[in-house]
Parts: sequence; structure tokens; C-alpha cells
Amino acid sequence: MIFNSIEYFLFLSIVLTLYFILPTKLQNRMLLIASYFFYGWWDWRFLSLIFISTVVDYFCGIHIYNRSSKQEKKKFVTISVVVNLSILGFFKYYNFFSESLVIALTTMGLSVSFTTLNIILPVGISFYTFQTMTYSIDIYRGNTKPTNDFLDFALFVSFFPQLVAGPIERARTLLPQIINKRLFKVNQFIRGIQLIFWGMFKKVFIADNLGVIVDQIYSNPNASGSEYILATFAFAFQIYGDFSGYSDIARGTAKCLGIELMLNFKQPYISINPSDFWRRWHISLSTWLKDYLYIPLGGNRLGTWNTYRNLFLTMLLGGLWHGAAWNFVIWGAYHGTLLIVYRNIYNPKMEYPLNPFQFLTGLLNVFIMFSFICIGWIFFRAQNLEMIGLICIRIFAGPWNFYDNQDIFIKVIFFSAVPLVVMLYDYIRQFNFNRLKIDLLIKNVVSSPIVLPLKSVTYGILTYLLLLYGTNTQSFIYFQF
Amino acid sequence: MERIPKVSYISNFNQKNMKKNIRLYCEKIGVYITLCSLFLVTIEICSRIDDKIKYSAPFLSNYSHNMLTSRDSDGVRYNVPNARFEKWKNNSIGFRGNEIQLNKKEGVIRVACMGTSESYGLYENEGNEWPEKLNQHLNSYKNIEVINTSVVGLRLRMLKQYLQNYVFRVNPDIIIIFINPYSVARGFERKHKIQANKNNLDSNRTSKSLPTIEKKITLSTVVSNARCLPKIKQSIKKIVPTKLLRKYQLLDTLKQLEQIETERLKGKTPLDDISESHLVEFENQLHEIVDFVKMYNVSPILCTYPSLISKESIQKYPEIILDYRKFFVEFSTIGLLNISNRYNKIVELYAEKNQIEFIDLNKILNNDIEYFADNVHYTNLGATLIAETISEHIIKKVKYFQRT
Repeated sequence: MIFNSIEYFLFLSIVLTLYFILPTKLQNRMLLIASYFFYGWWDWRFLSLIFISTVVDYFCGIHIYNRSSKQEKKKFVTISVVVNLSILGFFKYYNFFSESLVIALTTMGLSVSFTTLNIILPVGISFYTFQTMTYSIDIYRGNTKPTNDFLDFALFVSFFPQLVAGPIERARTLLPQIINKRLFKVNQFIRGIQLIFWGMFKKVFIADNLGVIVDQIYSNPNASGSEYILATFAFAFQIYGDFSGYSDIARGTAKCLGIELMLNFKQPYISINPSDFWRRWHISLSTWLKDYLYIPLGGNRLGTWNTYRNLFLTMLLGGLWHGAAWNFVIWGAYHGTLLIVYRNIYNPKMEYPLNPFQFLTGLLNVFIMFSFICIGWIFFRAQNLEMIGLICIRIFAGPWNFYDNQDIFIKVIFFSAVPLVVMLYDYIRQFNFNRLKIDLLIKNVVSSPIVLPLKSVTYGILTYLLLLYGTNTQSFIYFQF
Repeated sequence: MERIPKVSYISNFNQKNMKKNIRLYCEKIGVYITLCSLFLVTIEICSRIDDKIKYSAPFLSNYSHNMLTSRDSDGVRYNVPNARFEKWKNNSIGFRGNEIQLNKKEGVIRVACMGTSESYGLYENEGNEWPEKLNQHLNSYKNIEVINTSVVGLRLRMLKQYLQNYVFRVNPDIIIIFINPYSVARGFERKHKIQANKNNLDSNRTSKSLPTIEKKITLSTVVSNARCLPKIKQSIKKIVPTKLLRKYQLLDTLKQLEQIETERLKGKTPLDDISESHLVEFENQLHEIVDFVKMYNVSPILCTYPSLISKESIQKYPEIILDYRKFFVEFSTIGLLNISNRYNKIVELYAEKNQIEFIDLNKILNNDIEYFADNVHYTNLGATLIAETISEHIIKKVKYFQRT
């Protein structure tokens, strides 16, 4: 069941009611049943996969911890990684690699054929396999201890708010919250409800409305350059609204249950350089790739060229993680290239501008970086390589007739307005206001009695927009990963 | 030294604490109620601003579909020129659709589409009502102009006068006539009732007059005037799964029907059929209208009235049929089915007997849920099918005109 559906709200209401009625010991058991029910709603057959992954990593974790020799520990961590990556590789990449190999061999003049299987991609497989691997790897590294409670561990793997589209949690942050007693805090619960609301707004109002425009233009090979530019800009906010909206609903749901999930998006479009972008976009994945791929490959410790290689490979595999298609690989390679170029040209230690007088320079950096990000989204969104080529040519070589596309322009700005304003506000907040003595003013405003009525009015407006103009026609983009 | 009596000191302290706590709770409740009210008022204001921007609706005064029609001095309902309510808009002459000149250009053949709400276009998206679709189909024929002369709620007994006062001034050459049989049957029933009551009153005469009811501003009147509620209801309908929605609609409709039946029928059972005398009266009225139309040299095309109701649809879509029954509570569901069958038969036989051009639209739409948004109003698909069917007849007729 998707988050923006009546079924999910009924499900969540029942889960929350039971959660607050049941004693602490039974809460986790109820959440486990609910999580399996939630996942089984998609397709009950794939429950076996998640169970296999759970069992393998549970026992591997215990063995890794109990073994004294490093070789034996490595054996079990290898089993865990191989099993998880095999499940992921088979269900997600078998057809892609076999078809690509056939094409490559045919191009070389060899006639080969592999059986293409009708494999259904299990929802969330990319997320939970990565999450379970963090458990065994962290135990191997000594960062965490295994749990003896199989059912608690099973809940860690299948925790429904973040099961199908993240955030990808670490065992050392999520597992203790599951194992230890959780206290109900009214403020946390209210904040959870606010996050769910905000996530729904971003998904149903912003992302879905922009999705209609993007689908229309990206499926039309005769669209003009200006239309593709507007559609790409719209897609930037569609994917942001969609994915960060989902993450907010996931975090909000978890907060209502007394569990804190990690922040997955931090105003990514005010990034000033590629490194900054990956510290703000899909933070759970980028940190996972850094900790479990980039650093084990050597990180930046083995010289310049090895650093570039590690960066490029990490981003390439990060792109491939998103989908079994060459456009995702190209997208990953593009971001890898950006990171390499940035390392070469700019001072990697350049800090975010603190001085408001550097505002314009900072804003220019933001605009330039946003443009590069949007170019990357072309590779991500286009249906195939031919369309990528066509769209790029039209965008850079024209024709451009923005005057004829005014209505699309207005719609895109209207639906992007809210995240744009929030990001601008967040950008301004980066500055050190103490020097301008605005900090005190902001503190006074925030604590004034006008805030609550203003919040009521704001929620009223957002609720109206959500109910009347939310389209609810598009599925979550990241569900396909 | 005197000892302070501890017990009374503690009880005083507890009492003060309790009063303070009660005051704090009351303040909190007051704050939450204020914030909730502010939230609801904001939604209502947004709704009104939305209507103002989209439809140039008045911000403060009442805004409803009643703005679209009015009654003239003869009591005939007509469309108010230039009136607008949401997607419905009348032109300067008082018809739905594009602006037209009163005087017809030479060589142009005008087709008037005469019906009620189903032809005015209630559920279809703007521009998708069947007369407009007919206009689009006949677009390639530059000498054919289609005018939607329909009026929501027009009664059969007022049709002649309406045609004379409003339709014939645009000089149509062809008129397509839709007559809502349910409305006609209800009209006959009520006329019969009024006549019966009048006879009773004459024999038991009293001089009592009806008391005037002052309209009080209550919470229910405020809520009923709220513009956001119908919009929110529509939005929620989109989210709720169809099966669940249908179940809820059925239960709600049954409850409402029970209430209406108690109020209106006062213990009497709804009718399963219409009397023969009413059918004869209907045929006479139909004959009058056709003769009247011919008198103005307008060529009539009679159509059966398409509706969803059939033996199968009563079982399959009870919530839709029963919902329609609320407006015709004098008749049972079988009664409505008989009305549809019998009145449509009369139209068919009359057309055959008098050699009037006839289209059996009820047969063509075949009681298919795909074409109906409720029992008598059409979906975009239904309106398209009606327009396509009628356009074939119009083209034949126009070619015949040109030959003769």
C-alpha cells in the first residue's frame, strides 16, 4: 500500500492505536506483524526474500561477533554480503546484464542468446538488502554488537515506515531504538504528524502535479528546447517532492512510534558544489556508499588518481543502484565526473559563505550547481539513450520559445514555489546573523504569540491546496528502485 | 507561639492549585478551539479566493447554481444572460455555449438542442456537453450552427412558452427535443394531488394563512453556505476506494429516502406505475409541442430519453438509482423503470405515426454505466456518443434541405 492512500491511513491508525494500548514487550511484536503485513500487501511472495535476508544476517551477525579469528569473521561477513547482493543482483540486474551482454557480443559479431526471465522486481529490495548488510559489516568492524532477539532484528530489517524506500538506516542507530524501551512524548508525536502532513503535501501537491507536466513533455519527441528546459526544472522538483515527501512520511510515522529515523534530505538545491549536494541529497544512500564502498576502496588515502577512481566507481555503482538501465549508469558517471572536476578545480575545503555580503557569490554558486544537477536529471528521467541525446540537443541548440510556453512556466513556478521559498529561507539561515543582530530579532519572532495563529493559517492554506489540487495520480518514483 | 493549623493550610494550597490547573486547562482548550476555528476559516477563505480567481465569483455574497436561471413574469424558467456559476456559463442571449448573433446569417442552418439539465450539461467537463460536442462534430459544415437552448429544471407545461419567448427568436431550422419523463410524471402526480387537496379545501374552507418563517442564522445555515464543504467532499470522493464509497452512498441514500418518504408520502406507498390518463395527457402535450414547433417552420427531431435505469442496473447500481429516486419519491424504483419505458414508447410511437424524425437514444446508450454519471446525466463518453448519433441525422436532414 502506498503512503498517500486511504488504506495506509487506516493501517496506520490501527497500528498506532494498538501501539499505545499494548505493553512495551508486545509493541515490537505487533510492529513486526504490521511490517510483514505492510510488505505482504504489495506481494506476499516476496516475504520469503526478506525473511531469508533476515535469517542469514542474524546468524552471520552472531557468528561474526563470537568468532575470535579475523579470517572466520571475514568468512561470515562475506556470506552476508554475497547472499544479499545475490538476491539484489538476480532480481534487479539479471535481465539487464544478460541483454547488455547479448548486445555487446552481437556488436562484436558473435551470435549469442541468453534466456530472459520474467522477473518481477520486489519492492524495496535495494533498500532492505543494503540495510541488512550494514548490520553484519558494522559488527565485523566492531561498531555494534549483535542482538540475540531474532524478532527484534527482524523488525529492524522490515520496519515498515522505511522498508520500501528508505531512509537506509544503520544497525547502530535503529536497532537500539527498537530494543530499548520507548517513552511517549507528546511533542515528538505532534512533530510526527506534522512531518506526515508535510510529506503528503510535497508528494501529492508538488510532485504529482509537476509529474503530469514532465510526463507530457518527456514523452513528446517533438517538444521544443524551452519545453524540455521547463520539464527538466519541473522534474528536479518532482523528484525532490516525491522522494523527500516519502522520507518525511516515513520519518513522521516512525516519530509517532517513538523512533527517530535519519534525515534523508537537507535542502539539496541550495548546494554550492557537488560534494555539498551529496551531503544533502539522499543522505542515507550517500553515507552508505561512502562508509561501505568509497572508504573500503581506499577513499582519498591512496593518492590523487586512486581517489578519482574510487569517487567515479562509487558514483557509478550508486547510479546503477537506482535502476537496471544505462541511463542510470550515465547519471552516476556524470556525478562522479562532477566530483572529480570539483576536486581538481576548487578548493575542497571551501566553506559555506558565512558572511551575508558574500550572498550574491553564494547565490551564483547555488544557481550554477542547480543547473548541473538539472542536467544530471535529464539522464535520470529520459526513457532511453536516444531521448537523452535528443533532449540535450534541443536544450542546448534550441528551438527555444519561452513566450509560447508561458502557461507551462506559470504552472511549474506555482507548484515549485513552496519548496523554492523553503529552500531560500534555509539558504538565508546559513548566514551568521549574530553579526547583523538579526538573530535576536528572529528569536523574538519565533517566540511571539503570533506564531501559533500563523501556523494555523499556513496549515489551512496547505490543507486546501493538498485537498483541492493534489492529483494522487503518480506512484512514488523511488518505489521502482 | 501559635501553631499554624497545617491541615487547613494544605487544603487551601491544594484548592488554589486545583483552581490554577483548571484555569490553565480551560485556557489551553480555548487556545485549541481558536486555532481550529482559524484553520477552518482559512480553508473557507481560500475556497472563496479560488472561486473569485477561477470563476469571478462574488467573494462575500451567496454563490450557487441558482444564479444561472430565473423565472420571468409568466413563470417560465429561463437562463439568465451572462450568468456564470463555476464551469457553467450563459452567453449574452441566455444559452450555454459560445456567443451567437440573434439574427441568423443567410444560408446558415441552426439546430436548437432543447432539453433540461442533461442537455445543459451537468457533469461533463466544460465544452463536453453533448450540444457542444455536436457543434464540434458539425464544425466542418460551415453552414450549420448548433445552439444549446436547454434550461435546467424546465417543465413540460412551460416548454411551449419557453420556445416562443426564447428559442424561436434565434430562428432555428431544426430542433432536437429531449423530454425528461420522470419530471413529467411527477408533474402529473403533483397536479393531481393539488387538485385533490383543492377539492378538499373548498369543502372545508378555513381562512388560515401559512405562517411566514423567519430565516435564522444558525450553525447549519452557516455550514450549508460554506463553499469549501462541497469541494472537500469531492476531493475525499477521489481518495476513497470506489467500493467503500458506493457502500457509504447507498446507506446514506437509504437514510435520506426514508426521511423524504415519511415527510412527503405520509404513509402512502410509492407508485409502481403511472396511470393511463397521464400517458394520454403526455401524448397530447407532445402533440401540442410538435404542432407548435412546426407552426414556426422548425423541423423537430424527437429523441427517447436515455437513462441508466433497467432491471440489471437496479441490481448493479442501487446507490445511483435510489439517489435519483429522492427527487421522484412518489414513484418506486419499478415505477421509475416503467416511466422510462412507457414514456419512451409513446415518443417512439408518436414519431412513427406522425412521421417525425426519431432517434432512439435510450437504445443506443443501452443503460450502460460508462455513459452515465447518474441516472440521467451523461459522462463525457455518453455526451460524445449522443453527439455522434445525432450528427448523422442532422447531416442527412441538412442534405435533404439542400436538395429541396
